[in-house]
Amino acid sequence: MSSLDPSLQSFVRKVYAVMIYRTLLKWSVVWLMVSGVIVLIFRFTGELPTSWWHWLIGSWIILAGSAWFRESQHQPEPKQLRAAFDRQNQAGGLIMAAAEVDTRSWESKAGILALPIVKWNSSRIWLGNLLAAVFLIVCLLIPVKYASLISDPPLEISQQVEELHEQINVLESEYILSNDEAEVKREELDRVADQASGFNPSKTWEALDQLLHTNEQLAQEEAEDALSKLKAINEASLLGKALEMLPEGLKNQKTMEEGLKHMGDLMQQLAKEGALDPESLPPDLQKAMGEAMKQLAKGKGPDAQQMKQLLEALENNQDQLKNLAKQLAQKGLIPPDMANQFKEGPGEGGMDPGPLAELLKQNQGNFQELLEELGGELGGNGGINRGPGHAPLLYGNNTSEEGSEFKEQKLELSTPLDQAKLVGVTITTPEVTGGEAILRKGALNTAQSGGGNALSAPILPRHRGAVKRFFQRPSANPSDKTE
Amino acid sequence: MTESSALLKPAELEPATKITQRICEQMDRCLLGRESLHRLVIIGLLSRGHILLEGLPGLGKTALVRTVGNILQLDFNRVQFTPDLMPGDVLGSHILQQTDSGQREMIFEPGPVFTNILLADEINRASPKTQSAMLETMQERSVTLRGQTRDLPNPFFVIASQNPIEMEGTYPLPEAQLDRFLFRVLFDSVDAEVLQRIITERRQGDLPAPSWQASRDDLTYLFSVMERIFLPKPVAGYIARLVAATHPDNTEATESVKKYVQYGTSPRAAIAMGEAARAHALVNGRPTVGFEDVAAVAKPVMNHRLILNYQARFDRMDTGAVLGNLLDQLDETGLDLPSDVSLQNV
Repeated sequence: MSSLDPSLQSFVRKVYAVMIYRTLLKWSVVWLMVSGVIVLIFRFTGELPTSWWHWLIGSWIILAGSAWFRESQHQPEPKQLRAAFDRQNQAGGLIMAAAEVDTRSWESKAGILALPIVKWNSSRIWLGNLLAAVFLIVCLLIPVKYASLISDPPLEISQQVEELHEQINVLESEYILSNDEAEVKREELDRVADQASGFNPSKTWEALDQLLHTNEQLAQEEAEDALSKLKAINEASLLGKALEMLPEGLKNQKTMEEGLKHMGDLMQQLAKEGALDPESLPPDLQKAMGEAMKQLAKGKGPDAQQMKQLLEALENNQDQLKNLAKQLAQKGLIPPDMANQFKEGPGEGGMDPGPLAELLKQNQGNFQELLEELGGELGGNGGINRGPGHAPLLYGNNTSEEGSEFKEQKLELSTPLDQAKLVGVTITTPEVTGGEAILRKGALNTAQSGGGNALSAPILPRHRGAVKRFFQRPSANPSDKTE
Repeated sequence: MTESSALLKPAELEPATKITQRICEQMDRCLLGRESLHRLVIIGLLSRGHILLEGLPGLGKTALVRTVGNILQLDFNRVQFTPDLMPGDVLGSHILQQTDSGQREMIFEPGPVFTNILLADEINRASPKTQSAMLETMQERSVTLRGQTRDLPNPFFVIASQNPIEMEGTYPLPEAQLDRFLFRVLFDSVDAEVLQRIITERRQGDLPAPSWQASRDDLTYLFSVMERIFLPKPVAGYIARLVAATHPDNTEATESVKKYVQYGTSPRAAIAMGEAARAHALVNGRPTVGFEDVAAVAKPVMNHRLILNYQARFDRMDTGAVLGNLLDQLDETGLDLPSDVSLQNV
């Protein structure tokens, strides 16, 4: 072993130590920044673990081990370090030669070898570490309330979501939506609520609008269906009540028969459309309605008790449909004007069977004619929320032409404006050439030098005569004067 | 470790170093103000290389060669190269002569090349034919005429000169010829102080006689020591990388090399640099070659072997600047330390 080797080994260790130290400090910048971010995430999403500093120290030890491992894998070659040691000591190749030949005879002349300084300009890395450490400290100390400043700004849609949930509940409870469909809608609504972000609120609002729109569409379709059913039930109920009010003497006559037949048809149609819901009625009413339906199907009138129970069942169904409309209206699923249509009918502001019974009494044996005359519009009995009832809008009385001051005049045919052709622009008297357009070449064809008017207007063929007359000058010779 | 792999002992190296120092002292004494040039010439001679001196007339090129020959006690011939100089005028020729027996035969009459030191003055004025005649003598150190090869005296050196300014009527040396010169040394003018000494101490420019002369044995000893100067592998690697980096397509080529160099230096340059570095170490009394030896001889070895492109002419760049940049930027050790880490002496 050469006497130069200890110095050389010291130098090699020194270089390795600086390289490991440098790598560790470089990585520490990243480590501190990442630690700060993790601390922030922990603090703003939950709570910082109590043993966080254990993790901090442990990860730094792993970092130091990684730096050592990395540098051990990327060490400079020993012969290069030997050459560098030789150069720095100005040994003239003696230290390098010591690796290959016996140099002991010259080592005494080499003198004391000095360990070169491994200078590392570390100011930038230290500055980076300082800034990163400040960042970590800030992350540890920053009040959590400022999290909202750096996190995703929330979008307040809880009220809208709640309303939509209630709408879905109503639609589900009214069997407009099946359980599965309602569940799918709820999941979709929850997903929209979870993904709601203040950075892009329009996306959330659009999704909520879409959900609201589909809910309203479903509800309105259902409400329209219910409204048509309600009208049919109203009609049947009105007719039933009117028949009930007829005097006993008329009950076996033709009017009664036709009325019962019409009511039977209405009831059959309602049953067919599912407007009558026996399941929702009390058992005695169900039974009574069944019996009454059978009687009506046979063309026979139910007895007074059966009619009363039938009318009660119809009222029950009316109430159910009105209740549906009321709930849909409360949740904003149907517009108010549609909801108001459900309020018409017997009762407050609705139809009164009295006039119908009176009419039936007066028009015996002409029930169909009566109905046609009424046009399906039965008068109301007034109320605090409606007018006196519907009045038919008839347009039979035409306005008289007598006394009108305008006289009919047939206008002459003329070329439409959009078909007119621009044949030129001039400030002088245009040449009238009849119906044919004058085609001239050149944009400055009609331009005049000096004193020209910047404003010029195209003259349509039909105006040319008037323009020409305007520019005509009276002739100096009286004989030339035109008559 | 075998005996053959041992370094020169201090006792073996010191006499050789003393001889070189005395030679240098004598040269410095005879020729004023050119110490570094004298060492380069001595290094060239120890490396058994030929030297191309480039400088204006009257700067002392002939005096230098004459002094070297005088100190080393070597034969010296001077040939003034001119356009009509023929190869026979340099190499020698066969002359028909009558022998004592009365027969006539072709007798070889040696030319001026048969000497130890040949000063080829203004070599670029000779025709390419005559310049080419020098190729064999410089490389093989022999002359072949009429199928007969004759060795030149040992040692044999060519010290040529050329005028860098007056180019009219000249034949620039081809690259093959230039590559045979170990060094191209620029012969600058001396400063005013030296000129004053020359004027006052040298009447009519007469050279003083050397007070000491080296013997042939001294020269032989110097050459034997030269053979044992050790070239460490890292230094050999540095020479190889340096020569390779003069090629623009090399990975270690600097920006100036890539921009200005058309052709890099030849392997002969690497060989020459190794030998010259050994001689430099010997002159400085060291048994091993260090990076500083390479740096000292790199420019004279490579400056005439590097061929620059036209861009260099436009930017007024010369080989010295390109090589200086290369020497500055190429790390001798090949140690790939980060840019913010450096080694400094205590």
